[in-house]
Amino acid sequence: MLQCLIQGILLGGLYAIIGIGMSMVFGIMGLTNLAHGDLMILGTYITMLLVSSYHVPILLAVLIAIIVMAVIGFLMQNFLVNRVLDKGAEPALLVTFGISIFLSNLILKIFSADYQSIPNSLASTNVVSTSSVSVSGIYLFSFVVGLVVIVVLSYVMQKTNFGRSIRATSNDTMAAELMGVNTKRAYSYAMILAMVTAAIAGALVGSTFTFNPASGTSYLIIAFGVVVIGGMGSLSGTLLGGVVLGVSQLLGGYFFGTGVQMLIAYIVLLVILAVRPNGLLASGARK
Amino acid sequence: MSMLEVRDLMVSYGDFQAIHGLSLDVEEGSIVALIGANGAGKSTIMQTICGINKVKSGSIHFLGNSIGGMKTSKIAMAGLTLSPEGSHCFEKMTVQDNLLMGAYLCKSNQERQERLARIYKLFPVLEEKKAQMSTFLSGGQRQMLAIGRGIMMQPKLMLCDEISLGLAPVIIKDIYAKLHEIAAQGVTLMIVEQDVTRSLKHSDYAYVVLEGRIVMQGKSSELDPDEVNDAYFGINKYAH
Amino acid sequence: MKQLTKRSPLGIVIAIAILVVLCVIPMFGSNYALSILALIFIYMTMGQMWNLMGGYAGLLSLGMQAFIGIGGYCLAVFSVNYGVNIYLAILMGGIFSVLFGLAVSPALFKMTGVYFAIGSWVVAEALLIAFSNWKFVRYAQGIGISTVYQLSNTQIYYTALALGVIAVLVVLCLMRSKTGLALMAIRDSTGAAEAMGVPIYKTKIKCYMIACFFMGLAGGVMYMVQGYIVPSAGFSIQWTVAMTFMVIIGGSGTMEGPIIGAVLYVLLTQYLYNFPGWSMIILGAVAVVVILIAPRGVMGTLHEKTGFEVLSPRRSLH
Repeated sequence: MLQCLIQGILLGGLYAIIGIGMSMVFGIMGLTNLAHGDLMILGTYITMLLVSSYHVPILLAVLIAIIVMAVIGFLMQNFLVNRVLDKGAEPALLVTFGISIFLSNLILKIFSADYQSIPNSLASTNVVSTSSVSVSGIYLFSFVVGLVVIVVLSYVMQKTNFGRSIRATSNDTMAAELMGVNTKRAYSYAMILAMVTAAIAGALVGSTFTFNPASGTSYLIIAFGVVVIGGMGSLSGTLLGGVVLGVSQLLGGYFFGTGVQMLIAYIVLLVILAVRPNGLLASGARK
Repeated sequence: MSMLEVRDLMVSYGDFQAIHGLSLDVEEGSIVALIGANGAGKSTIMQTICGINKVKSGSIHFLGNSIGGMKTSKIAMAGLTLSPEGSHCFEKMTVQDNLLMGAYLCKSNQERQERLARIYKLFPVLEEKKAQMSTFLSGGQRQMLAIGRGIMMQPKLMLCDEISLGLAPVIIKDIYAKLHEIAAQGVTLMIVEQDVTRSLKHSDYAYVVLEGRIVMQGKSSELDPDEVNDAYFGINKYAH
Repeated sequence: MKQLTKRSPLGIVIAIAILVVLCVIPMFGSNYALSILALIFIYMTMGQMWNLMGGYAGLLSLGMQAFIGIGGYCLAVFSVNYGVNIYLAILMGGIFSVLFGLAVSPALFKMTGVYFAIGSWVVAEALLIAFSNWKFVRYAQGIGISTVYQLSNTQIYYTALALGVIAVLVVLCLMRSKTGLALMAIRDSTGAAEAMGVPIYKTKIKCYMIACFFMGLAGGVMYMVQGYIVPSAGFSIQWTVAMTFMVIIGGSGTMEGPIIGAVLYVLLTQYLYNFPGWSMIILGAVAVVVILIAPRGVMGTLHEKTGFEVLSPRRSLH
């Protein structure tokens, strides 16, 4: 059981990176991006394509995927999201839903429904191997990356001029404009950052688990769960959210069988949503 | 040429015409007052100058350049900013972060810190509370924060919308004293006030606004307070 | 703004005429046409109910597929395993949907807005996993609903027709009743509605129960058509995709919207069968474009510009 606990915590790091992009977009624009999971999987497929078909070294492939996703994020923000943001919460939600359907089926058309994975050396190495606990290399790596991403993002948001302008924009767009901030561009930057984290998350997910075009939906729920449990808009909260979900899932699988492990995680999520809808560490974020 | 020139400005909210062909000037280095009752259109004028409202017709020139129709952030870059009605402090940020936002357009961190030090000298209470969330400040302190934030931009012209609203007289006195200090440092000010006496006392030139029109203007020292009152309420010879 | 309310005698005559035509179509319609029409009626029901929740009550749910699955499985299990009459089994699907809906409502109704939307989706996904691991329903293999194999196209058609017509009538009557007025008040301004004494929770639950019931029925009738149910299809998000598409294109918050949306959806997906794999891609793209350009859908925009309504949920003034 200790194995599950440790693995669950490490899994939480990966889940946290998956959720960060969604948390940022919600915290800054008030938009729940239902296409987040599918966008992440798109990043996964790009990385996989580069590594498997073009034999690009994996780190370079991830870098390229990051750039591609950043561009996609910028385009999406400028041409779709910015236009729908003033129409209300419901149309915005439905637009992202539409993008999700479009994307997942486009990926299905291009890549087929087969399960794929990104070949890498970390997945098969066990970093720690004792009689009671063995820790897979990729899990540990994901956790570390997750921690680094959160720390870096937090620093950027809290201490830099750029980060301040993004926070100001999310607080009060009129006042931010009066200070010289181009708020529409600030939104684009936020979306680009979110997509960068999604690309990183996608690469890690693809290296750890098998995936197919429909995986976007399952990861969307995880991203949402992470964000909700930690509190919308809270960066450190996503780490907590990730760990809670990761541990619930693996312990659930341990006690009830791996077939229902996600079910246990979902039930935990629903209970938390019902009891504390603003998350365990609500940061006074927008409703 | 005036620093700010507004000519025949028309602004409407949907079908409702708020401003009817209004013209005014703000000379560099002066303090200009916009006086009027609630709903007279003062805030509308201010927000239109800053690009928050759309100009239906007419022109606005700042330092010789047309700014009518420009985005608020571009107008801010040109050196024109607003301390909005109700302060609009960034609620989820600390006092210090609020002030630092004022210097957003500043290129170097060192310059930003220098400006911050000057603001702290001007408003010592802000330095005391620099690590607190801006929501925990009192009304008067929030107003000072909004003004301080605006000054951090080192604007050439700052518009101040209803800075005395809801504040105790002693605080208002303090804030106006600071405004004069700011003006002395070379910032041109346009202030919106509901109180006739106060606005005439603290400004060089005044405009009285009634239902989206200028009904009276002149050097503050030369205006008769009773006449201004009449114009303010639209009575006697100002009735229509 | 002109308004053709249903109270106008011409409107009622037209409605009855259409109904008569629909009833006699089986006499001269092809099997293919009948099956298309049946699908339209079933989807129309789903659309009406999704619209009732999302368009009128302001409860945008992304988890109504839960009840499609429940309805389908009730039909399968009760009629195949226990020999229950098909129509009774479908009815039980509706009842079980309401029961399940009520069971999760205390938790679900604590959530609002996007939390409610995704929360309901999570519930549906949870059901999907649960059923995939449940021996009684044969895990992910699913159940072949043998009892419906011998039904004729005409029987299925009339069932779907009945379902569709009843669904529309129920929603129309509901919206014209006191509850309907309350719903629209809640949608427009919950705070003000509450201040005027509208029982918010009770109204929402009432509306939710009706939607669950008919969604369950629709699931049953749909699987009457499909004949085989597996968890990944019965509880698939695809149902919600269809519902949202119908309502977005047709027009949310209108009565005619889901009807038009259903017609468009079925015809579009039928046509796109010629281009396998493209239907959802195109559907998604079209939905996004429509929201950006005409967020109120066909009927919504029509109503906005010309005040044209066929089935008005508004109370008549005379």
